[in-house]
Amino acid sequence: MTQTAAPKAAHERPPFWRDATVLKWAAQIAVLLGLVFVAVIAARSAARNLEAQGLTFSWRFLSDPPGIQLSEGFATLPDSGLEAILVGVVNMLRVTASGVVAATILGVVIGIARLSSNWLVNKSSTVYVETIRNIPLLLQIVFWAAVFVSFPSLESEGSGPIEGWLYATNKGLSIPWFFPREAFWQWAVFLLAGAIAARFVFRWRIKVLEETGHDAHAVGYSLAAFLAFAFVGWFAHPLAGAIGWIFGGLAWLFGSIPVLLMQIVLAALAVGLAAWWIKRFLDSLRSPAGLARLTDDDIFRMGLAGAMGLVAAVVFFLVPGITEGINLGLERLFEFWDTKFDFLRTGTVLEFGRPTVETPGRFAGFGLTGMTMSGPFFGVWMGVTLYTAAFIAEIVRGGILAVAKGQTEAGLALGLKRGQLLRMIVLPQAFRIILPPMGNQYLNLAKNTSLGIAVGYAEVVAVGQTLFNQTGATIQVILIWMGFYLLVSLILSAIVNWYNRRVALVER
Amino acid sequence: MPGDKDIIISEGVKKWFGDFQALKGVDLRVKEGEVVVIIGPSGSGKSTFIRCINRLEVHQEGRIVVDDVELTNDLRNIEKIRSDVGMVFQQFNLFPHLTVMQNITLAPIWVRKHTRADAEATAMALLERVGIPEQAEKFPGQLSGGQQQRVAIARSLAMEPRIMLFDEPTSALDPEMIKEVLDVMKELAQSGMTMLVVTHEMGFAKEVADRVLFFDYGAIVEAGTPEHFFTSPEHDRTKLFLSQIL
Amino acid sequence: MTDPIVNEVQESESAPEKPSAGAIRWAKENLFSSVINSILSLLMLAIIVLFVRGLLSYLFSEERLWNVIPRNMKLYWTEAYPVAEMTRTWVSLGVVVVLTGLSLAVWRVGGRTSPRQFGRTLTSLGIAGLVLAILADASAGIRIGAAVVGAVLILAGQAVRLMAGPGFKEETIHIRSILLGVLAIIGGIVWILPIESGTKVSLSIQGVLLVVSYLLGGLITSRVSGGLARGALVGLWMLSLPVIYLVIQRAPVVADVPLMSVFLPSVVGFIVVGGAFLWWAGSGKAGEPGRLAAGVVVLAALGSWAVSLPMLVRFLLLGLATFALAAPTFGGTSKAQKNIVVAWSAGVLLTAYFMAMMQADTGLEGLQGEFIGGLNLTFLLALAGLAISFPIGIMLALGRTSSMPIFRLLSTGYIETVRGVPLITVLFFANLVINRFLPREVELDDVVKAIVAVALFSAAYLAENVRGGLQSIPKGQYEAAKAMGLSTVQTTVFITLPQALRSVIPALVGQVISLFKDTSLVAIIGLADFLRVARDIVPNQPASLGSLRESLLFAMVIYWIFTFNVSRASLRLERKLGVGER
Repeated sequence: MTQTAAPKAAHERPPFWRDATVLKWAAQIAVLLGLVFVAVIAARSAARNLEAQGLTFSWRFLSDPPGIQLSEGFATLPDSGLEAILVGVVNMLRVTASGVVAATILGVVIGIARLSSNWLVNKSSTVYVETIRNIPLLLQIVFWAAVFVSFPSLESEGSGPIEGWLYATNKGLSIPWFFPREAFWQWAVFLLAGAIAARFVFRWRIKVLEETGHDAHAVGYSLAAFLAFAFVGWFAHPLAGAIGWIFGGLAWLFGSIPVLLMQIVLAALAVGLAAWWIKRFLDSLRSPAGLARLTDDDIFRMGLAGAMGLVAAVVFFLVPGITEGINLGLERLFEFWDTKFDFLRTGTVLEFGRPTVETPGRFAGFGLTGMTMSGPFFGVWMGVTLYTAAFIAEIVRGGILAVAKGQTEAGLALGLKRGQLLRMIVLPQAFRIILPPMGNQYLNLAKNTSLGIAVGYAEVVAVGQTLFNQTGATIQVILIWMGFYLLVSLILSAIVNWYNRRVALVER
Repeated sequence: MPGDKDIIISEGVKKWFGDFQALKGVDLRVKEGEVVVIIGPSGSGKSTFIRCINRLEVHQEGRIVVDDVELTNDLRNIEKIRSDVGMVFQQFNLFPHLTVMQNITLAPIWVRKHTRADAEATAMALLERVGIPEQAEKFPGQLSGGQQQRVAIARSLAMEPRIMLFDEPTSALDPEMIKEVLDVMKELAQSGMTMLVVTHEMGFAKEVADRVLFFDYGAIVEAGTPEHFFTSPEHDRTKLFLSQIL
Repeated sequence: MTDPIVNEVQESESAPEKPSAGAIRWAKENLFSSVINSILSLLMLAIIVLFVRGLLSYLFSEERLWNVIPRNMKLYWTEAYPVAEMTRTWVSLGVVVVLTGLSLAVWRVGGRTSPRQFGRTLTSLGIAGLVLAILADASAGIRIGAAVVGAVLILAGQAVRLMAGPGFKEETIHIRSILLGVLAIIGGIVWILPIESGTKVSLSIQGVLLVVSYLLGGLITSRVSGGLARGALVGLWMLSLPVIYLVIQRAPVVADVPLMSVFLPSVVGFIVVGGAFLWWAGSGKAGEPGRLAAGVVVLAALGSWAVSLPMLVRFLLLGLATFALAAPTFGGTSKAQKNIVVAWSAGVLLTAYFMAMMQADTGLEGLQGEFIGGLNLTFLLALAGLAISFPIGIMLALGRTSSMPIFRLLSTGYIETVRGVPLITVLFFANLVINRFLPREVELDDVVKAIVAVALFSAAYLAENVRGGLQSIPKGQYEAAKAMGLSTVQTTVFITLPQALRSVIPALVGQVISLFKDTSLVAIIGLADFLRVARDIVPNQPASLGSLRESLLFAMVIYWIFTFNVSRASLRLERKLGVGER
């Protein structure tokens, strides 16, 4: 073997304009800087334009009386902008929750019907899905609201199927309902405790079942435990008022803490978070021998994380308004919960109410007089329920079909009965496939309730629009909208992820 | 047959995947026109090593010089190496949405900047060389495994590489198709191509290789001519491996 | 309903084709196979009869104001477009019709069907007619008419089967000829409806145009190679949208556009200087200086937005930057070099032309801003939104799957933010505040703002679909491309994107349908799209009061026809591509 061309010194770096890593990062940083540049220019022209219109960017409208009236909600004449938005939030959550329940039931039924061997059932469910899916939801909502208007008027004879109990009129659909009263939240603590206790009881009975082999009535026992807590709590609820102290204390803490201290805490939190991430990242690269081999990418990445933490920390000091806002927000939040749990507050937990016609042609407002579904609510609810159900049906159908192939045969070969097969083999697996897209559909439903604005349902978007028409705080309201919906999405996807992981673990 | 020039030089090449050290200092010099067969148990680092040679994997220590060009982050070098070194994969990795002809002509047109007509003429010649000119307008999914692997070889050759890397080219094939691929590889070896072949086909190693390397635990354990290797291996681990496989 | 799953499995494994059984046997097998099934069937039948009866009674009630719809066709279609200029609308429609006819012929759309299937369809339509006659609470005239039509259809259905003789199962009938017949029948109906005679004539002309262009398309396919014809048609379709909306519908007055002072010098300058630059950059010998120069052009293009320059120059600079970045990758041979320069020159000319049309004021009397409304606006929003969101969506998907963390972070942040908020908030943002963030000389009008909002919104969803496709591509594809020396851009353009897009066609079509449906939201921010015309404008006319539900039902049917057919077409396309790939 003859040596040729003695190689040059090991590892010489290429010139930077040809170094793949350097170029990669240069491009990224250039794009980032470009975006920052665009953002700065946009912010500057926004400031100039606002000035030209004589407006200022402030959040005062949240505390000022807005001078607006809302069509429905827990406060139709809100005292402040914030309260108006909260009314919208509650309304949005109401229609979302009832829509999710109804759409799930309807969707599952239709999804299973689409797999039926019965020709009529099969075809009708297909027609349903293909019709509903292909018409814009907004059009459907508008249509149902228009249908509602054609219901008989409240004054006319026989406006409700059962006078005094049940009404279906163009002023609303009204049914009897239970309403939370002063002591409800105190009672809710007992319900929560009951649920936790029921869980432990359930586990204990399952253990008994496994040890003895006899049916241990796990469901019955845990239900009994829950009911026991609910029953005791019905009378003993003032005890839970003590929780109010904790909230009161927290409210006092955030009310009296100096801004500087909070700034330090927040900045430390930001830097700490970045440091924690870098440490975790380093640990993930380190071998047991403590050796970390860092590529250029890794170093850039850690640098970026550190820089972001530092920038956040600096911003907290430069803009004290952020910290003040956080302090105030937390103080208000805990004050609110303090009042809900007030120790001195005693009274009933729930109360039963029947529909009442207040003045001829109108139902009594929000409160103790039966649950009234207004026309706009009806339109939105019908629209999102029927629409989402069509999509849920397709998901359910797909999920069951995906499992049914080999697994059904395997189950039959094991000698399982059909009922067992469904319950033990098909549904658990189908559920795992169905769940993530289901979560997406719920999220879509929640977002779609924003179409309520078209029929005058007072949810977040509609309230926001009324608010900025009155105050001119357009940008702020849009930021609130986006923040709110992002929060809803985050919470929902967190729940779905958590459940997903759980189901996946059980699977393994 | 091998020439005088060291076309591949590898010195103390080390590579980690997280905690796992895949290469523990590989030293190797390959002459122009030499056919080197690399054998060894799975997970021994042999695939990782040849993938380092065309920088599909990036080595972390040591140096690799291919055809007088050191492998670094330098864009110019990477471009040159990639078009000088051809590679054939275990799973063929043909592009399923392109016809056989398009698969072969893609890189010559867009990397080597040949005209379409030239590229297609070369491709046809190569398809004849690997024995399947009639399949030019078919899609990879319509071919058998052996045919696909031969197309993959033709695709690499179309770039006129100076070195060919084979990463277990017959492992994913049905037994009756292995021979047709090995025949193409033998013909290629006889034509003077520098080849690095990771394989379990001992017959091929005996017949064609100038040198056989035995890889284990991320390093070259033993190297030598095929005769030496299959008649009087020195190392215990080599003996054990050969006894298991033969 | 207890055992749907097991039945599904059995069904999918049923024997190839049973000998055609009688109706009774069919009913026994499909409706009354067990006691539970029989109960279910009867229950379902009762529900269906009740529902259909209710629906029919509603539809055919004397109180319904259906004649509102034909009377207001113009409003539904174009809203406030000046009546005197309606010819423009007809010409636009004509362009679309001609292109449709040509495409149908060139792509050879439509398969064949068997006389048996056709006969079945006719028979079931006939049965539907009879059901209508029995159940509907309509006037005697309508009932008798429906009964007669139903009976004729049933007879025709049976006749088709009988006439075909023993070969009635073979697929011998062109679906196209059936469509032609349907078209003729619709043409006949148009002449009965209470609409203006001018409209009737125009509609008939469109029908004739469709047939003629279809025949012409057949002629072209027999002369020209398929690839060329298809490529040309795709190009024409792409051009047709801006031509229709900017030139034909908008009737621009070019007089106020600074053609001589701005447009001519820019165009000449960019074609000459830019062309020469690209000639050099695409020669394959530019190397690092070429890259550097491209970087400089990119900076210049970005910087042009910070200083006061004509819009045209800014856009052309952006285009030049894109071309300069792509030139080294796609250039090399002298032919490729020439192609790049030709493509650049064509791009400059088209950009300048359309920008001139955009900057020109509309010549339509009394309509300055929104000259488009109704179904026309709905289509503009959907098509323009799609055209803009597609490239953005692909870029976002590439960013999110990129190995570069900052790009990944930015793309993910954008996608997740947009997907987390409802479209209506994005529309409000675009409509109310976007102008505040723009430099003062840029003032977008409402339609443009809505298009931007719809496109930006839809891009996030498209990106997620494309990402699904990108992630389904095996690692070996990237490695093979890398080993062959393809650059990242080349790998993306030639290898990964085509495969990714192909594998997510169903999801993409679903997204297109969503986009079409979502355009209806612009009604909320006050644009006069189809939904708003149907909901607010038509029913609020003094002559049409009380016709809200009729109008909404009509809108539902129209939306449904489009979306349903698009989803059907995508199913067919999916099947066709699936076969081709094997």
